[in-house]
Order: sequence, then C-alpha cells, then structure tokens
Amino acid sequence: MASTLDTDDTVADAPGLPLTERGRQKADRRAAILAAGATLFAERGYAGVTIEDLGAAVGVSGPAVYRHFPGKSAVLAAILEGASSTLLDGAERVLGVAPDAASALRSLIRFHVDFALGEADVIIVQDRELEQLDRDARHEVRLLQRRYVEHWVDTLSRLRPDRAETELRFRAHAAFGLLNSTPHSARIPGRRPADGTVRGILEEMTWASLMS
Amino acid sequence: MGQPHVVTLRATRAGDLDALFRFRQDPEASRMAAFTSGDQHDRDAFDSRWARLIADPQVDVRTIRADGVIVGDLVRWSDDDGSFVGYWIDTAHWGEGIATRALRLFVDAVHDRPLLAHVAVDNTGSIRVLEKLGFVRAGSEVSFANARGTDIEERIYRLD
Repeated sequence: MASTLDTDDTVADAPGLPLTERGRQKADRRAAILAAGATLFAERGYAGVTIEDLGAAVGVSGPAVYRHFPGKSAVLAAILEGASSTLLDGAERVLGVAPDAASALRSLIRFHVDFALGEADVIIVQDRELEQLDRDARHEVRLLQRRYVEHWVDTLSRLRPDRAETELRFRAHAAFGLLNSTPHSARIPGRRPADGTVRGILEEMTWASLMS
Repeated sequence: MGQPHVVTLRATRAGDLDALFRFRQDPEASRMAAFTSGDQHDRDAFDSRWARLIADPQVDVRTIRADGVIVGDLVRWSDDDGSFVGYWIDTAHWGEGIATRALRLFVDAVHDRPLLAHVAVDNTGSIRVLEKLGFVRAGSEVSFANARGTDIEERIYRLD
C-alpha cells in the first residue's frame, strides 16, 4: 500500500503527466497551504507562524505539511518565487500582444494593478520577509524581479527615448511603490471607494508618475 | 475539458461577479440547482445581494478557480436551522471533478459542524459529490423550486 501511495506522489510531481486523484488532491492542498501562508505571514510575520499554524489553516496536522514542503522557509520561498514568476509571466504575456509601446505600458499597469489588488498579502510578505530566505532562494527571487523591472524599463524607453535609462528605472521603482500601496490603502478606516474606482485611480496615477 | 491541475478557493471579490453572474445564466445549471434565488437574471439585484453576502461576517463566500480561471463559487451561510453550504460551477466545467475538490478544501479547513446541504433529488452529480465527502442523507422535503416552477423533492445532506 505504501509503495502505491509513493508512486502516486511521484506521478503528481512530474510535469506533463496526467494527475491521479490523489495527486490532484495533493496539488490543491499545496496551493491552499501557500495561500494560507501568505495570509498568516502577512498578519503575524514569518517568525510568528508555525508549521502547525499552516497545517491548521487548511485542516491538516503540522507534520502533514512536510509532505508538501520541507519546512516553513520552503513555504515562504514558494510564495515569493510564485509571486515573482506570476509577475514576470504576466508581463511577457501582455507585452506579447500589445500593438505599440503606449498600449504595452497601459497593459503592464493594468496587469500589476490586478496583482496588487488581489495579492496584498503577498506584497506585505515580500516587503518584510525577503531577507528570511536562504541565499539561493533570495537570489532566484531577485533575478525574477529584475527581469520584470527590465520589461517596464524597455517599454518606457520606447515611449521616452529622450530620458536616460537610469531615470526610467528609478521611475519604474517609484511606480511599483505606488502600485504596491494596496496593503496600506486596504487599512484606511471608513468606507473605501468601489473596486472599479480604486483600480481607475491606481492606473491613472501610475501612468502619470511614469510619463510626467 | 480534462481535469485541472489545481483547484483553489479564495474570498470572493467584486471583480469576480461578472463570471459568477454569467454562470447563473445557463438554463441547465439553473435547472439542476432548482432552488434558485429568483433574481439571478437581474444583474443589479444579483450585485446588491452578493455585495451584502461578501460584507456579511456570518457568510463565507469563496470563488473557486481551476488553474487560475474562475469556474464557480462556494457559499456557507447560517440560519436558525444550522450552517449550510452550496456551490455553483460553470457548466463548461462540469464533469471535471471541480466541485468535489473545492468542497474538500472547504470542509477540511472550516470546522462548522454539522454542515448541511440541500440538493434536488435528481441532481445526481451533486449527490455524488456530497457522498464522496462523507455527507449522509439526513432527510428530505418537498418545496417550491424557482428554476423548475413547481414543487420538487429536495434532499438534505449532513456532515457531522
């Protein structure tokens, strides 16, 4: 019996092969642990969350989490690597279909606004906990982030050929600060403008900050 | 078709409502759900009801995604009779095992018990989902089903 289970796990981890039911459950649970991890790390800080907390959030024991991740730091690494690859893949996807530089920049902005509104927890975790990663994982995340920034800088330099690349890179980082403000604005007391309004405000402000 | 690699649940946001409303326009889905709200073809009524559900701390509204694409929703609510769960899946994704996976994620993580579910007696797909997850038949009653325009038998399933 044990060997059958092991086989299923192996199949589940091999890309491109059809998943068994057990493999699918495992994939769902892994994703649920990552989502819960982002929420808990954002709320309590990485140091304030145990493997047992991560398990409890998805309804399994602490030790059962080890079937998906070798430890808490691997959960953090998967969250941050996942976020950076999502951003990079998304940027490459929207740039691939944009007919010109201006619409490319609009699409990049719209895409990042989506991310910032949907993944405020991940933004908090990335801001505060990147240093907790071991050197290799941190290096991997930084590499993905740099490639993402370069897509913005390339797009900007097509629109602003008169400006130095160093200035455009500075503007891109300043714009990320603005876009990644969603965890702060979510805490504004009282009534918040509707989602569509928030989205419009962020898109307009970002465009202005880059093109002023 | 084919089964998705990963199914996830997250708190429903206003931006999800376009998709969730669209899934409710399918006549076959309505027929299966049977006990629909009556306002599900009126976008304004739908939006204001869902805004209330999302804001209500007593209600747990989740969006179901398969490989990142929105494919349905799952809602838990309570009244004097207990806690209830219900879900709605895009008919384009029926038969892919998504409801089972979404409900499993939910019952594993949320420990409200007993958890009750009402299902039309001929909704064999959902009955199979509930039984797979350990829900047991706890009774039945005849009630008026909006989407059928008539009284039908509904079964009550229960997870302890």
